[in-house]
Amino acid sequence: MSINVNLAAYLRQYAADKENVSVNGQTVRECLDALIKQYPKLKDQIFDKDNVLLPYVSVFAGGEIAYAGKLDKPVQDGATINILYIIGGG
Amino acid sequence: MLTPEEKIRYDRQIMITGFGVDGQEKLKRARALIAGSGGLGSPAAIYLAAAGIGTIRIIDHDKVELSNLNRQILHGDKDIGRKKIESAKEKLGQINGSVQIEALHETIDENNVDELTAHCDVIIDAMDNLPTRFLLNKAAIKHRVPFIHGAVYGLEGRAMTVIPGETACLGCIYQGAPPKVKFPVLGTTPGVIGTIQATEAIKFITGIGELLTDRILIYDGLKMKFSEIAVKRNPECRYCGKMNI
Repeated sequence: MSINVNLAAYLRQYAADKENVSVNGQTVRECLDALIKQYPKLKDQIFDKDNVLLPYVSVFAGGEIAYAGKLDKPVQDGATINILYIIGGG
Repeated sequence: MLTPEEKIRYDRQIMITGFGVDGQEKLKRARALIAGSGGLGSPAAIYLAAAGIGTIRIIDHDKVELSNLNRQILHGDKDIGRKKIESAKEKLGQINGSVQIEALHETIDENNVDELTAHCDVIIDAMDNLPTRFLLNKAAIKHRVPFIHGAVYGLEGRAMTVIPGETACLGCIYQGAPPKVKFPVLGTTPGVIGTIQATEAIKFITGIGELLTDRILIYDGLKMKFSEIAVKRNPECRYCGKMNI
């Protein structure tokens, strides 16, 4: 299944400045793994050493947040996953 | 009631469909809390003052530094070393002397957040750190006051409006905060986002238009485009999850 992953601006520097990346996967986790396979530098920006989603990274699939522990949520062909890195500047 | 001078002053916005004299009177009766008088708080406060909001409660614990001046447009060269709220009050008074300015030199924390957010019609999140943003979001949920979030990094900005108990809040979309670090920012980025926050506040108070709820608006200044991410309330949200959906 082809899934479109949108990367927050901050994360693009770890993905050859790509804004969107097309990946294959059945679940959010599989899609993130496929993304990291293409751009390994993203791993430390998205997951901690124990491969748990960092608390300041939000992954949205179908408008719903997928937390650490809920990455097994299935995704549909053609779906979009958004990865946001929290920003707090003012 | 609007005075004859006010009807002239605000004529161009009173003309907006749905706004009218009634909307202007609602603005005149409203109090907006602006948490922070920096990059976001400056444009938000300036436009709310210009629009004729009744009262602005602006809170900041900092003094003006030289490195603030690329973006914090309430402050200028001669303000360096002054309390930001003093500088802000002076500038806002010059823009619109009829607006009541409650300028509070305070650090927002667990102990005072309820008192500081009391009796406000809307809260504008113009902070420079995430822990205080979450604190304000929590208070907004508790008091059921609309919370208008904005944040910037470099040339990226985000905004979202929260209607407590009805729409996704900050806790629904973000789980935690990274360590605080000095962040890059071009002054125009908070200019865009702070202005959007002021627009949302005016829309909420006057009841016009559609609010930026259940969607995160993302401004990408490098590519010069806006995008949105649709979001939903999270039933397990640590702040609003227990409120009726």
